[in-house]
Amino acid sequence: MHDLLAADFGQLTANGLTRGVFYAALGAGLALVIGVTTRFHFAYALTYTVAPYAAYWVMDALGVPFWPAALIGLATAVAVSVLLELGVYEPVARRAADRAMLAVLVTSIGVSTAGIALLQLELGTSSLPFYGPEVVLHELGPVRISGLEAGQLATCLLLVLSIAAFLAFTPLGRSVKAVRSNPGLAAVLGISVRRVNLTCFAIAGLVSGACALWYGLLYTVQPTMGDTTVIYGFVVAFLAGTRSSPLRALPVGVGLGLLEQWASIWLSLQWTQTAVFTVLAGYLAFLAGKGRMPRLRPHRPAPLQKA
Amino acid sequence: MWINYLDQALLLAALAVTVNLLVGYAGQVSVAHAAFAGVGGYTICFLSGVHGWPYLASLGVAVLVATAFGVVIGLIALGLPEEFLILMTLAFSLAIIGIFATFDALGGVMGLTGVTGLRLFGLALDTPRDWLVPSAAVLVLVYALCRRLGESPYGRVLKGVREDAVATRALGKNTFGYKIGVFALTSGTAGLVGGLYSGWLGQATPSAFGFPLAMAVFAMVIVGGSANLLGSVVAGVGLTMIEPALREGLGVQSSQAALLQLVLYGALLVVVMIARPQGLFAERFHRLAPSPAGDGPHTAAREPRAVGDGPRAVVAPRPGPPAPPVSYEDAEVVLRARGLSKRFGGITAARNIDLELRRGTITALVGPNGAGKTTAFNLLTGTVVPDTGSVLLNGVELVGTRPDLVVRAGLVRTFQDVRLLGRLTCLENVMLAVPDQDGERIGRLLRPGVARADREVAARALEWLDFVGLADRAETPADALSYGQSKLVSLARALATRADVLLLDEPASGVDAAWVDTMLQMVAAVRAEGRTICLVEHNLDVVRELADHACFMELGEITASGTVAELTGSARLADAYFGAQ
Amino acid sequence: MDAPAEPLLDVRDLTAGYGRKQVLHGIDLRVDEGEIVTLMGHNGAGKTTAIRSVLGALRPRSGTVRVSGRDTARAPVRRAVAAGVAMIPSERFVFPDLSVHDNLLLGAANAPSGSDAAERMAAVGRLFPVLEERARQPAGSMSGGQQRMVSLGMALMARPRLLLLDEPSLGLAPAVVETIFGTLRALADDERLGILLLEQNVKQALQIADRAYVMRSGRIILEETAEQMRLRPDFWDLF
Repeated sequence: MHDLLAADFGQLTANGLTRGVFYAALGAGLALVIGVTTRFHFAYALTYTVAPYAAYWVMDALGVPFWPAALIGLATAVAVSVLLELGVYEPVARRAADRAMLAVLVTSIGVSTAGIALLQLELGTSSLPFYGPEVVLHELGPVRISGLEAGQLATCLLLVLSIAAFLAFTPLGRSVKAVRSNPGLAAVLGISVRRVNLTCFAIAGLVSGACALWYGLLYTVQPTMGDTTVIYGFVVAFLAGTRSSPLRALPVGVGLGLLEQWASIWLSLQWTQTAVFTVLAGYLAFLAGKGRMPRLRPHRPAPLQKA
Repeated sequence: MWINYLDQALLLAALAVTVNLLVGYAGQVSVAHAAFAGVGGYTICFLSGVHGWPYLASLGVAVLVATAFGVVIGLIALGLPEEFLILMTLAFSLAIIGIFATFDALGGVMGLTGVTGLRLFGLALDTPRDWLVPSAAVLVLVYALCRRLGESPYGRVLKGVREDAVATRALGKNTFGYKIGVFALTSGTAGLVGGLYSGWLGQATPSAFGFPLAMAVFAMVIVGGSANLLGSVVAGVGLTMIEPALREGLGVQSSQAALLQLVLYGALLVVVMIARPQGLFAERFHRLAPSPAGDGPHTAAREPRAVGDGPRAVVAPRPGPPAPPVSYEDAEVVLRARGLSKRFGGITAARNIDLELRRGTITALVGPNGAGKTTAFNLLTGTVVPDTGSVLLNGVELVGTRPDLVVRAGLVRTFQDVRLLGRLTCLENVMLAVPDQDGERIGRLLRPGVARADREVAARALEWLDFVGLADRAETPADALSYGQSKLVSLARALATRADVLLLDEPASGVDAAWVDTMLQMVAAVRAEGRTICLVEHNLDVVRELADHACFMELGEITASGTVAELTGSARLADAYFGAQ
Repeated sequence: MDAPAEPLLDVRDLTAGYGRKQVLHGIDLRVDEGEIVTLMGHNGAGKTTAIRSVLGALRPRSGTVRVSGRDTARAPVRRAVAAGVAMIPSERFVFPDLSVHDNLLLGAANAPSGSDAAERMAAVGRLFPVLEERARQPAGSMSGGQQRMVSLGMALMARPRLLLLDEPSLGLAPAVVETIFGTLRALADDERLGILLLEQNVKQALQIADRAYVMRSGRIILEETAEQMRLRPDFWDLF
């Protein structure tokens, strides 16, 4: 179907890296929410979509220039994310008690779909003309990369590194890690779980908003743009581990990005979603098999050693 | 227009009923059932629309294909923690919609459209009015099937899986099998409904079966009431009718109305989840004998009691093997464990445990905290597979047997933290434990006689509740009991499995002093029945009172055994228990 | 030991429980400054519930809890920590994937105002030099005894006046228990800390304790000086 030229391959690899880091950032933000708060935050798709919509609206309706508008978009995403936790997830989880995961997931899907429908009611169902800084093309040998892609790459990388640094070096980040690591002990030390949860949602809102703004500039802004993205985020978050360092999202995200791009050499581009599903299904099948198979290594009774 | 919406409402209600069986009864969350409906829809559009198959045949294929997808997904994800099932179904939805949009044979992004001229049993299905009959028929069929499954012994096991899969497995039920079964079955019915839905629409498009549909169905299930099928029908029809009401009543444009409807669904979901999580129509607690005639609770309660023996077992033991006052030494060995060892990582949780339990006697495991007593129970019951060793129950090897089969073989346990199924009544908790119920198998459910058999099960269960003195609480939901009462119900539940050997994990701990004596009498009465008991208990008063024999555990090992007096007389064991100077 | 006018910890007629399960049926406890009090009893007797109520991690149903005259049971945990109460749970008492240094800093998250974290850290380092040496190591990779030291260090970072310790000897070799108990005695003597010690290792606990309570089924069944308790031939009848 395609001629596998070195140039093509290089270009696909570059694209895969850019995409991969984008997935990594999304996954790292979502992993923080899932790992620390245990909320199955499907409405990540909403905070993602809302950022370019808000930015577009202030540009279009109020005539705000691009960069301030982008900041407003980001702030909206953060605000929506925090409000979701405060006004929806926390009360729902409190009411549902031991069935909180189910209740939060279902509510989250509901809020997300409803929110996106609301956006469509206000701004229409078709894609929006969302334009920002002028597009410059850079040529690096055989590989071409646009200024937007470079910006996205840099932003996403910066986001992942910043989350890692936040967790490693700030007192609040330490509290976040504490709740993630051992919530019972954190409670005994008097660390406020609510404050930690809100912090995580603020970060997740920021990450999703920033990613979505770049995505909107590079491709299109349309109502269902969040669906695919949030699933990729979930897959990266679970494959990288929701309780591990955000840096682990980088290899996983880049791996998925490269797989997706390289797969497009042989497969049509829409198949790539299926490729990601296959990776996930394989991973889960591996987990399920590991849990169900009898232990392979036989044990000798340990030699007794008593003082 | 209204008739067209009514068709849609009936079909969506059928989908909601299906999803309610899975989510409400069995407690398994799947986002993928909208996608399974899509599989069904695409199947009929492809076979009947493109290739001209008869509609009925392609509906059959739709059910099979959707079921097959359900089985595969279930096999992969149902054994894992619930977040993986959610993740798997999310990713599956995305992938299958991606596939729909990719294949040119499936019409790509536009989907398969213009499917007309479908016929079913000789009837032409052209106008919305033509579709009313099949839509209603499918709703009735799906409702009848889900109700038959949900409100039956089978459904009782599903609810057990929902409330506490570990506890349900410990009563001898193959919980993984039930999960796969209900997941596959609901996938199939979702495929059937999808086949009708696409036939009614005359098309199958990728966007029709995405997250908005999944969300709409969740809204119907939650608003109508989890584990209440009638609620799903009411909510399914009611919520679908929002759109035409908006259009007709408020004059909203059609594209706007659909969006506004989604917004309302979302708002409703949040409000219901916070204000009334059980939904408009709450789950119903079962009367003793779930007969369609609708017996009042009182008559139903009295009837089985007449069947059972009158006086409490504490006073007069139930008929069965009479309890000869055997001495511990002469009693026959029922269970013999040899050399059980288990290491977790670098930690030895159990080391070379040898244990004999003798018929009609009580053996106690005592020892300091963390000595491995509960681990010993886990190893005996197969909850944890030992690295080495064997467990012989009446000469049959138990190591390597699935935990639910261990129970069937005659070894049952209770839990330190009780683990009653909170939203089932006390009687249902005990009924769940009764072995060999035909009504728990899908194949047998469709034959007559299930209701009568279940009344017998209820009668037997009531005898056991009566045995522990709680027959008058039969219809109380388990989570409304006091802690002491719940421990007694868990004992009745263990007894109802008819297992020969009972492992009781701290039967008296956390129980109010007034209940401790009752508990002691009960356990002694069980021994008098000729059953064999092994118990773990930290309250040494209880051990002294009950145990015919005691084993001392420390650091995962049984280091001494004898009478309680012998053990507490040993200075070395006192050091092990209270620390050395 | 004579009680001063106001005890450090004063619990009166405390009842508490989880859901429908009532665990404590009215208990009285007192701990003075510089005093080690051990609270004994079989598993499930309600010892842990008692100290969780004192900390405010579990809201009592009735009764009063005063730490230096302040009610700590009906306020968020951080208030109790700021008032000088620190608790170490019996299990999962460190953040295993965090460094020792981070663990210790988290202990100071709600320290009373005016306490200097760096200074406390240095003091903890003097008490347990191994924690300073291994500051960068994940706490979960240390030995059981060292993890106990991390947890004790974490509690001390909050500059407590009352320590609530839940089975600190669980799973430790006797020599390690002796070291840790020695440290506790020194803290009580030198820094006038009050310590409420929940122990199954009765004999070693009595070596360092001043007084002892025994609980059974949610009630205090005995209060004695540690000396009286030490003279008993055995303890079986108390459990």
